[in-house]
Amino acid sequence: MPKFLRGLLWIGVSLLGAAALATIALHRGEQINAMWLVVAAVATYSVGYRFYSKFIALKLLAIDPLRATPAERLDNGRDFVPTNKWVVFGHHFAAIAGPGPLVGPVLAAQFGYLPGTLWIIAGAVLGGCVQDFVILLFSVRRDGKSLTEMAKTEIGKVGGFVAYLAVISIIIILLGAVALIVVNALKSSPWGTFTIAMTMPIAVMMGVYLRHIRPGKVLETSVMGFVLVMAAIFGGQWVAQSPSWAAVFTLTAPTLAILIIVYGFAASALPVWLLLAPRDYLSTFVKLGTITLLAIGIVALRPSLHMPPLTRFADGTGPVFAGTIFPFAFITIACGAVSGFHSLISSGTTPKLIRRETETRMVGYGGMMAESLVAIMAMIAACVLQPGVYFAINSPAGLVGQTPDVAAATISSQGFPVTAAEMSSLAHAVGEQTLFNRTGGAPAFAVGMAHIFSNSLGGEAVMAIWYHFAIMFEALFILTILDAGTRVGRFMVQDALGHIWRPLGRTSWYPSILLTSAIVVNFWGYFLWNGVKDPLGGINSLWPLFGICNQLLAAVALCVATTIVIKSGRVRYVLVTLIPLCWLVAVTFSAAWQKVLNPNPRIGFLAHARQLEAAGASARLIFNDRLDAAVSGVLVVLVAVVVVESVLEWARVLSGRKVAELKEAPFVMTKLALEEQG
Amino acid sequence: MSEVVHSDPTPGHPEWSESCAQRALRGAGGSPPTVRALWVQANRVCHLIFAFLREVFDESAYTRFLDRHKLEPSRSTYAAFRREHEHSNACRVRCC
Repeated sequence: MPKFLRGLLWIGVSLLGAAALATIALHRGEQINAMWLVVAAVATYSVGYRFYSKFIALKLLAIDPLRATPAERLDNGRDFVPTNKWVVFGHHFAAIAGPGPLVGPVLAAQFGYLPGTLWIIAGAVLGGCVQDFVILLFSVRRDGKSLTEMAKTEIGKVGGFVAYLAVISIIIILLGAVALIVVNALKSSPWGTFTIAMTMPIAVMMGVYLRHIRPGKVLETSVMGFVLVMAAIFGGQWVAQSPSWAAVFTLTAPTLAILIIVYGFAASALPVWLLLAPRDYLSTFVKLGTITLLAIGIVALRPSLHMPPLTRFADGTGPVFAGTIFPFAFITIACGAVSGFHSLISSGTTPKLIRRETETRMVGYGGMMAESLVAIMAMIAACVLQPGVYFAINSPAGLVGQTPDVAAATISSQGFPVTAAEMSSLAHAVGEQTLFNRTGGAPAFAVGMAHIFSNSLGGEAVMAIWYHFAIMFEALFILTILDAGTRVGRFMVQDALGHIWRPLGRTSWYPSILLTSAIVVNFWGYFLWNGVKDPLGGINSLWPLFGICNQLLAAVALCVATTIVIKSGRVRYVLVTLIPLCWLVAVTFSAAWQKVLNPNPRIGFLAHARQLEAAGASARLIFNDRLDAAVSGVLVVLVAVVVVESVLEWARVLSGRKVAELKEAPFVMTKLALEEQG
Repeated sequence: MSEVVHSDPTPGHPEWSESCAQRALRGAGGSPPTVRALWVQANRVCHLIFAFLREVFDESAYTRFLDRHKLEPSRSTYAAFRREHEHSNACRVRCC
């Protein structure tokens, strides 16, 4: 294409993006079509990728197409394998896409669609994509080293230790928070509980089939597993309608919590091939298919958003979670905008597959753009609901009332009309007994997704199937994370305990497996149990705590990135990583400050503990609040130590008191460039 | 680790230049697509999707394992492959 036409094309894309952003920002009064959000996001991502990521690649990172990557130099056919860039892109995306980008935007929709959407788009282009890209490239240049190893070698031993603590804390809090989402989605839902229960024998059958009947035929087995899961969804309808079976699968939140804790322990201690691996395959299969289906559904059906751009809850009095837009919208939406967890994947499996340095741009920056688009879709799914319905589903009973009539009256009095009859009819349509107080984000996302699809594919008659498909999809995601997360946590604990007594570090020694699995499950199980017992729904305190942890990890990753940029002598471009770092420090530190010390009991853990104490509540609930406050405080102090240590290192290098020494692998000329030229 | 050709860190080695990186990032240009070219492209996309699925679902890893050890696919070789991959598979981080 001639240069001037290319120029015109990019001017057109930029103007389209600006027009779409202006429309969603300035539109008031009438409903807006969801396509405006999609166009704003896609146009901004395109411009960001074409210009900003290229600027980063050339100026900040000085990407070198002639430099051999570890996948080429250390190719062993196992961990290090030079792989096609599109395949690595898909692999990376499958690893970074979890329930986070679906749940966060649904919860943040209580402020209206505008704050969350703007943060998802801007946060991704200027922060999340940058973090994933630079960490991936820096790991590639260090033979695929992990974030904690890079923190140790580039910042110092304290940096490495804090990164280790941040990783294990985030894993434990994440597991507690996501397990609570499953509990809230399945409580008193025989259909959903039956479907999810059936995924366990299905996964075991897949494991046995893969091991003994058709060894290695994973795709074939996953397709069979998917067909069986779909059969379980249809079977669930029959279970829900049968009084005797419905009674078996209608479980309370505490019972579900106990079952999930037992499941987490079993999944960590059982052989990988039997449960973890087949579930992982099944979950990936469903995840990729459903995200594609949702994207096609939104573009084809172009639904209207009923949620206003800004709600009255921007003042911090929202029922879904308490707190103002700054800082709480920015920690509630983590995975769709900036997620520290991604830096673990960008410095984990992915750098060992990258064939050429130039491909890190598409995989790192582009992969996060795709994840961010998933978050936009989740925001749309939440905002197509009537606001009254959205708040009725997501508000805890402790806040809006225990009975349907009281809850509907409370929500209506806040300016979002909804009736108990309307909610009862919706619950009936999706095959549930009630949709009131189904906090956690998953049920609201499922109702939104069912609403989008039922408008064309099958109509109201199959709304219940779509709803339970969405619930199954999220629960499957989450249970896979519970399996994998508990096991990763177990390995980290075994690694640490191995320094105390060597046999405890042996990952195949069964007493050590049982002990360390019990330790990890106990930690997240504790958070889950307290979340279930919390009269405000638990997700109120757990999700912000998880968001703080996740963004603090991103701050550690950006400290590492900024340190490497300064040491490599590219100080003039340091703002690329320094600005997102400063933003994250401001957001997480103020969020943690408010969560610990805010005098409003709905926000501050300590104020809530005092309120409970005055009301004579149980000592356990009071202790739980104090523990949450202590965890927030300790994490902030640890990350502050990393930030201070990084700043001191930058000062030493910039003042010339220390010679900048990068710990990169030596340059080796790639052979792939010559092969590609023929 | 392979033989070190240049000791200077990136981008200091003699072959590196910004225009060289720019060329690599831009990719090749081309003439307007014909029906045949589009068919070839579509075919390539299908192959890529299949390759991606095989990689994500560890089928490629199993094939590489068989090639590396010069083995035929069977129950016992798959069990050996799973044993070899058990630790790396279990440690694979899954994001939130």
